[in-house]
Amino acid sequence: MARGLFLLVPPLCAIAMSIATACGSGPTVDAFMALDTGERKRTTFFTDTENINCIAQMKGSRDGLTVFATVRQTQAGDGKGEAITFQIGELPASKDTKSLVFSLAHAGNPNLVTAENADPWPQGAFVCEVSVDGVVKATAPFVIQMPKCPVYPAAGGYRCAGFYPPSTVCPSADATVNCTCSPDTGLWVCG
Amino acid sequence: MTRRLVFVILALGFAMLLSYGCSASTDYQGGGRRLFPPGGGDGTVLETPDTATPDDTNAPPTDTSVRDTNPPFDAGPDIARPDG
Repeated sequence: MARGLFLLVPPLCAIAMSIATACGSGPTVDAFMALDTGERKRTTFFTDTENINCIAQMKGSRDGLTVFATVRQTQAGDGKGEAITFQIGELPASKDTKSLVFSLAHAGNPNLVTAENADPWPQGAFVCEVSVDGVVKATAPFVIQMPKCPVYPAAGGYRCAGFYPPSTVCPSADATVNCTCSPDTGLWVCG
Repeated sequence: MTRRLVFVILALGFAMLLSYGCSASTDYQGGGRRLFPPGGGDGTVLETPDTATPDDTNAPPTDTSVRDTNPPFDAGPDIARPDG
């Protein structure tokens, strides 16, 4: 009798698992951060990075799904713990959806802030949480750091505050002259 | 003796595999950063080559605002009316 009950356990488990898969669990989601639409995966970004995207790769999606991405700041630039909801986004998904790209927006109205005039990204540690129909399916942690110098040669009069450390010294286009990020004005001062 | 040698070779091979798999080149975190200072500026970005053909670069002819004085060609009266 006991042996008969024991033999019933595996098929019952299989049935329960198949029901759970069909009804409750939804699509499988893999989340990661990238500079683009997923070709260049990154976990470290910089205050002067142009684009930061949270990518949700989906398997087994179905029509009528709503996919949310929530970016939370977990640590401030000075290392203190934070729990700030930084940005949220929402995209629809269908059974053909394989990948969704959530672009982080710069501060202010993203329709008014051009990439050229965008503010620096805030420093710290963050996590992008991707949820499907309200259930968190995947997370992608990343950090934003402040680089010492820009990629382009520093030029006098241009903004450096927020992008690079105050008083940092960086090369200019003229190799004989360096520029300093003025802590007073927040602009490069060269010569 | 032979056993020890085999063990050493295997250990070295494993270490090499580990170092290959953990090399920093697979974990580059740069790229995608601003190439212009905020607010614009000339920058030093390399331009992509202009692939336009010479014809595309010719300016369109200037409009002289002079009316076309050539009369249209008169093909004569319409004689193809079936009910006429």
